[in-house]
Amino acid sequence: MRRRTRHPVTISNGLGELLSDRGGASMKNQLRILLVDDDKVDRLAVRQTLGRVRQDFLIDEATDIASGIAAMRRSEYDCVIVDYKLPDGDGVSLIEEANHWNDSTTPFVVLTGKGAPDIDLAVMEAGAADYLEKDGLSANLLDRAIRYAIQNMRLVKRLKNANEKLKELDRLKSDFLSTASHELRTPLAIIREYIALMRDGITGAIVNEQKECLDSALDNCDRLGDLINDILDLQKIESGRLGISRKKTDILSLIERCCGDFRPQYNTKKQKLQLELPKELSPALCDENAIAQVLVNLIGNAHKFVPIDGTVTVRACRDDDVVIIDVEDDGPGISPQEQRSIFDKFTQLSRFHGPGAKGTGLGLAIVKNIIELHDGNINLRSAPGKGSTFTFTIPVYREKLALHAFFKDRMKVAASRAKGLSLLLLRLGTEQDSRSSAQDSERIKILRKMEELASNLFGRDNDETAVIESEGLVIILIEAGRDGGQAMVHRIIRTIAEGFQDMPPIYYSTVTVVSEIDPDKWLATAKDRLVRVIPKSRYKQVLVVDDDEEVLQTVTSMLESAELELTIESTTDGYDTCIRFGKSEPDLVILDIVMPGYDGRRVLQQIKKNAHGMKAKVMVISGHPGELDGLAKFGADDYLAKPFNRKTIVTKVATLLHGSSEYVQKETAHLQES
Amino acid sequence: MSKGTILVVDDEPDIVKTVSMRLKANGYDVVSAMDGVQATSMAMKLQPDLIILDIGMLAGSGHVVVRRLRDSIKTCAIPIIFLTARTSEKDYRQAIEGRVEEFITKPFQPEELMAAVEKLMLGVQRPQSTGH
Repeated sequence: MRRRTRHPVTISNGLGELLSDRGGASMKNQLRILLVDDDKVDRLAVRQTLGRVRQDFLIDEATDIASGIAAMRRSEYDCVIVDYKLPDGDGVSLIEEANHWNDSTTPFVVLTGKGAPDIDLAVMEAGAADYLEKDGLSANLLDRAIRYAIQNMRLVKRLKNANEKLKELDRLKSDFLSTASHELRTPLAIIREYIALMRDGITGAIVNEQKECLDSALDNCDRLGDLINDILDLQKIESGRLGISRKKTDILSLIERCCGDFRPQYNTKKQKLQLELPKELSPALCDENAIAQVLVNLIGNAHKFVPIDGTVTVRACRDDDVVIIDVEDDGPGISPQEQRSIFDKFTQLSRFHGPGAKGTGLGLAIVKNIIELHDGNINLRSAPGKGSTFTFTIPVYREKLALHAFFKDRMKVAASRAKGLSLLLLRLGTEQDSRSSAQDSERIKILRKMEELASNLFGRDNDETAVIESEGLVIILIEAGRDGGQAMVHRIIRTIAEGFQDMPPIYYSTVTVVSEIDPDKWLATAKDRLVRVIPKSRYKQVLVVDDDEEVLQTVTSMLESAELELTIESTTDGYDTCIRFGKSEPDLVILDIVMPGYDGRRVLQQIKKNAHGMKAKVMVISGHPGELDGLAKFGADDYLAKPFNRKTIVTKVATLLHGSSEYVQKETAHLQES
Repeated sequence: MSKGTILVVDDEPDIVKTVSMRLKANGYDVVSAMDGVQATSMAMKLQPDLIILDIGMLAGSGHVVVRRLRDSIKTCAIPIIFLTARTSEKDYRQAIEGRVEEFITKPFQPEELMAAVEKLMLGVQRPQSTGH
């Protein structure tokens, strides 16, 4: 029997318990398993059952979803065994959480008591590799489930990698096409302009035949230019990078504007462009520029194919929850054969009606893509000799729908750039305030101001952030860079803390996701975590005193990077520190003991003689324990030994400023003893 | 009387050449620069009546030139036409923020460019300048 020394370490995080089992044997080739179950007996049973067929495993235990997720964040596990019934939810929720917030590729095996037969499908759907009943669980079955789960996940990982490679190739292709198309513009412009200069007689007189040739050359330059534009547009749409941003839009004025732009062209060909629009139409939910592009395309196509004296009619109406728009022409019509491929790329119709600029064949493909991005439909009704009608639908505007669209549009763009998204939620006042006084003009003013402050921070031409106000909440989505968008989040919060007093109080929370998620769920999670923004005026004041500038800088940056709502000042001068206590009221002084001139011990004594000083908390920094003798009786509340790390100093400062704990008392007892 | 002086800025010599030829044929005096730094200093020194400006130049972006010119009392009122291969929403919005008067993409319709030039040069009358 191997000897194993066990050192169970309990790390309490206030939510549940994580018990860590560290064996004394070598950790290589050990299967790392996380077992999530609130029942101690069941946990032991699993451990013993597995132990019957293998020894090469290490089990960490957690007692609920929260601590399970925390554990998965801290370490990598080969497999997670989770009980279906947990105190803060069910096994399926844990799997879903892990996949949303952690982008987990860890296999899950779900265990259950006598479960209902239909849970097994839900469990597998959520992504568990297997599902076993605890009752009569055999060692072989458990071992096999774990091994298969791990093997399965290896295959999934391979697929994911292949998928990633494909996405990367697609991105490279898109980048190449964008760059190439862009680079083609300048030489094309130059060629075109040299030709135009000759044709316009600016380089010298030309004869008619030369003029005709040059005109043809110009036409083809324009054709090339259109093709470049279309390729760029299509690339952007297909790669998801076009990023439509859908808002409340007045369709009637949009149609009128687009048609107005076409009148000159229609007049040239003596064509009629009629509008059959209702007096009033519910606003639609769409990206105005994108739908304008759709209309321009359809009306422009009609203009090209309809003969002289022909008529094109644009109609709009509402049907239930969609707005229906059609563009009808009395042109030659389109054969059923051509109808089948008309929305395909690079497909063009045969031209019956003489010359005119040839299209690029991409217009309708772009139109179809845009309509699909809007969750709409487009179709064609036509017959040779009977004209054609293109009809498309877009959703009617509804606030809830608009909110979902806001999320979906942003998620699509972030996904196309392989980035996650951070949600920053801001609420004015408590939840009751939000609901009851939603229409209060004062509140609305403040909400708008918050929205504006945030927008100004990320600049109007920043396309990685978007903000919307809905149901009394300000919602900001930030593309997660290497820090998960947190730097921007903190900037916004700090700006709001400075810009608003506490009346009514403002609450915030931030939640980052790395994969697609239901917006309602995302919002609900964020709403759960709202905490109050502390206005800058209420920030705690910290004074750092050390003769070494580097220490001052290190301490300042460590504290600033934590979310502790502090204003930090620093000085290298002990004497200066005492003077300051006459003027301002630091809540905490971080004081170096060994300083030339007025040393820390003296500063401490002086400070504590002062009324403010007596209330202030003092933490002393020292290079070695000998220096700490007797400082507690001079009034030091805690000590910081060099070298210190960020976690230590942040924990200590937080404890000192926001409440004492047994931890602090233990430490100061240690001070007094030495 | 000349119709006024136009500063054409682009790091592509052929763009400068073709645009200048057309402007001269329409009676304008033309000076040119090949990068942002040169453009800014020439604009400050000569105070042209109009500037036709590229955005993506190797040495200095058109947006930066706009910002510098708008910041100086000598040049803030000179109308500017962006003539650029860039088509992004971002560039367009930045142009609006810089109060650039016109935004024309390459390849361009010469009629469109000349219409914009004429509109912005309306009423400019200068004594005949000595050749440049």
